[in-house]
Amino acid sequence: MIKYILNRIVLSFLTLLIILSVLFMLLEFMPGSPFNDEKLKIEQKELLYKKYGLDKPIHERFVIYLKNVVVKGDFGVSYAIEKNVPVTKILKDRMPISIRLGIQALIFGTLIGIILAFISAIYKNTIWDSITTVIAIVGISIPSFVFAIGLSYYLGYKLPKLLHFSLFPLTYDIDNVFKSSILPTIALSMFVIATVARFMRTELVEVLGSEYILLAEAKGLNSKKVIFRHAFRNAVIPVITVLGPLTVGLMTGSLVIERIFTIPGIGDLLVTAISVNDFNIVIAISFFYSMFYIAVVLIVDILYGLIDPRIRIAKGEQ
Amino acid sequence: MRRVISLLLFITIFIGIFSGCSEQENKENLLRIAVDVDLSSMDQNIATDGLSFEAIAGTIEGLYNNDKDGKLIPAIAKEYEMSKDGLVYTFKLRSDVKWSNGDKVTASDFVFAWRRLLDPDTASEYNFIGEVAGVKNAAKVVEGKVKKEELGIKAEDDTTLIIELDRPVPYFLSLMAFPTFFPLNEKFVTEKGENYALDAENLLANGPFKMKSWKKGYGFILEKNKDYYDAKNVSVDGLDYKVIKDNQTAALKYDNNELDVVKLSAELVDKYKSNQAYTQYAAGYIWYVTPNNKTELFSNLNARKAIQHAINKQHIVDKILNDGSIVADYIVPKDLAIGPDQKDFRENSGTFSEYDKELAVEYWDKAKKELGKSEFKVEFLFDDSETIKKTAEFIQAELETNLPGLKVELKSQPKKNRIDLMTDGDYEIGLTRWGPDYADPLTYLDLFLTDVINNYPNYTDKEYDKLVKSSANELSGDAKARWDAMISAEEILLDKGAAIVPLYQTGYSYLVNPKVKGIEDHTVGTPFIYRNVEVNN
Repeated sequence: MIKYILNRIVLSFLTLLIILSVLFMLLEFMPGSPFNDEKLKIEQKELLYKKYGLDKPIHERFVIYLKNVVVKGDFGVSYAIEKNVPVTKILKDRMPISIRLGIQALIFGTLIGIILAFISAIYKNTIWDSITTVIAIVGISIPSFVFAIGLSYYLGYKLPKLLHFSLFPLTYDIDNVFKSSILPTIALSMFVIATVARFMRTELVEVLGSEYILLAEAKGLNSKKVIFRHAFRNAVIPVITVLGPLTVGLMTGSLVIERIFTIPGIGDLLVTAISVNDFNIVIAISFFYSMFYIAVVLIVDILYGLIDPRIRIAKGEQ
Repeated sequence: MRRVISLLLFITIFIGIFSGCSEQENKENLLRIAVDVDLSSMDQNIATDGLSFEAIAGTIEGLYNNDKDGKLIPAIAKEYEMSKDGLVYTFKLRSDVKWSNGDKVTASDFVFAWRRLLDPDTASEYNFIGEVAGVKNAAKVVEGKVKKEELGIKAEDDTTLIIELDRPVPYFLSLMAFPTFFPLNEKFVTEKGENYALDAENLLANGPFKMKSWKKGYGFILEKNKDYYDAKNVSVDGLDYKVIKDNQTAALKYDNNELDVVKLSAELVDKYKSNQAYTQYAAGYIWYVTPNNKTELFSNLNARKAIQHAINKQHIVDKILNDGSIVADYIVPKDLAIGPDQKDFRENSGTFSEYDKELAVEYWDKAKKELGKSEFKVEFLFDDSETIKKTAEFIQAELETNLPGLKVELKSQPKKNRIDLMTDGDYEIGLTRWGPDYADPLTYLDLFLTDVINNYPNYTDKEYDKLVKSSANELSGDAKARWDAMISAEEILLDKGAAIVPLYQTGYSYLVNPKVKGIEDHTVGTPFIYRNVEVNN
């Protein structure tokens, strides 16, 4: 088992290295530069390139870059968004904001999703079932930014006009983080709600029809106990496995949500960095996304291995 | 079911408790400004964009300021003397100006800041401005040929600053209001090293405001600087900048009375046009069509004149941009430069290349006759962004409809490639723009001198070259003659030479709370100055 895990960790590092190299190369071949092309004279460009070490041949720069990232954890400085500020410092300020939003959306989404699943499983084939199914379909098919715009307009803008005080701030407020993160959390969690509800409902329906539930009912337990003690536990396991990929989905989903609610996180930063060619920031954030994704996949794989010995053995022997 | 409902009820109540009542009130007398970009630098030697210059000019003052009309007014400089040959300026400085750490602002602060600007190690994107200002040895310092100590600036004593120029520069003083030339406290900047200007704590102010907080990506607050020598005339408590990249959201926040100054994007203009708060500001960028004067078709003067008159610019401004931009039948922008008669350059100069379909056809027929052909095909080069594409498509339609026999093919490229192609002269006709670097017509007229790198139309005219060069050099002492020379130069460029087709001067649409008075807008340097702003709550 340990050998398998070590093996996977080494592979993950190799994958990350390849990703970093591909990112570096891709941005190398992107047209445009972070500096104002129109006005800069050739001599000025030379000075700038020299200052940032961009005058060296590409292979040399690549080696330096890799060395800085791997040894020092240094991703260079920002060229345009926050000139000359180290990228790691910029990310350190913004990362917690995005992560917090993601976690909130994950918790909120999972809870609501589970509740909806219960409603539709218990009241299977009734109007309640249909309503939750519709909610799930809507949540899956409508992109989260549409919810975001709707929420910000109706709850952030229209509602205060009606109530004469603002229940939900229109935009992110650094002095009132919880309250102002409610709307973005809801917008971001729609997809989670829908996915969890659908998954969980299928599982619950299956579990509720199984024989041990029949046994539990037969021995006289009330339905509350049957559902929460017996059905829930079994139905929730598959849901945990989809949470991994969902978490990653949240990171990318927040790109647009952060812009709409003006949340100073890394999603919004990436969008801006791409549009102004701030290469170092683009590489660093893309790299963190990949790292996150790989970590999630790795953890899920290891968990699979722990749960199911067959997977472990099959992969370990390769 | 009851359980579910009670849970939902609980969640609602929970949220309710945390929200409470919070109508946004403007307790302090703050001006609340929405900006749609991040503040990229507070270091005047590194900054290149409008917002950065705006924030820097809010906190640091230089030798001169611009008033609301763009005229120069003394700031740290009390008075100046110019030598007869126009090569030496001696400034007398105020002695009551202090940095926010208590240090006095002295002449050597300017010396330090200027040397830092031109130091090749700083690699300032604006270091060319030293040469533009004509400061002695500026170009050589940038190139690393001489030491920065040999730059033509020295502090005779704390309040006397002497600047030597290589050549007389008629607009030298106007550059002194540009943040790049502002002073820096040597002790502080050296001590902070690489961290200088990266945070609110690593900054010093000597101007009307100082930075209170800077939350990256979120906003920053400039509060009134009580130690500012003219603090009694600063009436607001501060400026509260919020970064809101979505203009729609910003406008909603304006409606909620959470903001005072909000920029509008084109699609929002129609909704707010009749609002009392709707305000238009002129910006300094001029967009123009550049025909490559070296191609077969556009080497013909009448063909160039034909396209000059064939494009309905009003349509572009009203229907495509709709953002406060105005039609430009000129190359030197409105509100850029004030002449010796204290009037705007545009008041004395003419208008050229107005939209006139019949005149266009007249020139076009002549051109066809002279070239001995009736069918032409050209490729139209432009940047691959949405608005520019729409403009290009409209121009294509105009040219093809109004000039029979002309076929226009569109070619969009990433901006960098488009600039490369134009610089190499490897294009037929295209769309480009220019923004001013300093408040003088030369910042535009310079472009079209023979063999200048940004001379995209490859225009060349001896008389034009002579007029522009003389107004940069020997006419420096004679403001009136110099102004007349530049007025004639523009006429030659656009009328006699028909080198390019100016389209429009950019503008911005804003919502400004009617309670706010005294925002000063400028087309060059610092876009907005809030020193004299008043909020009448």
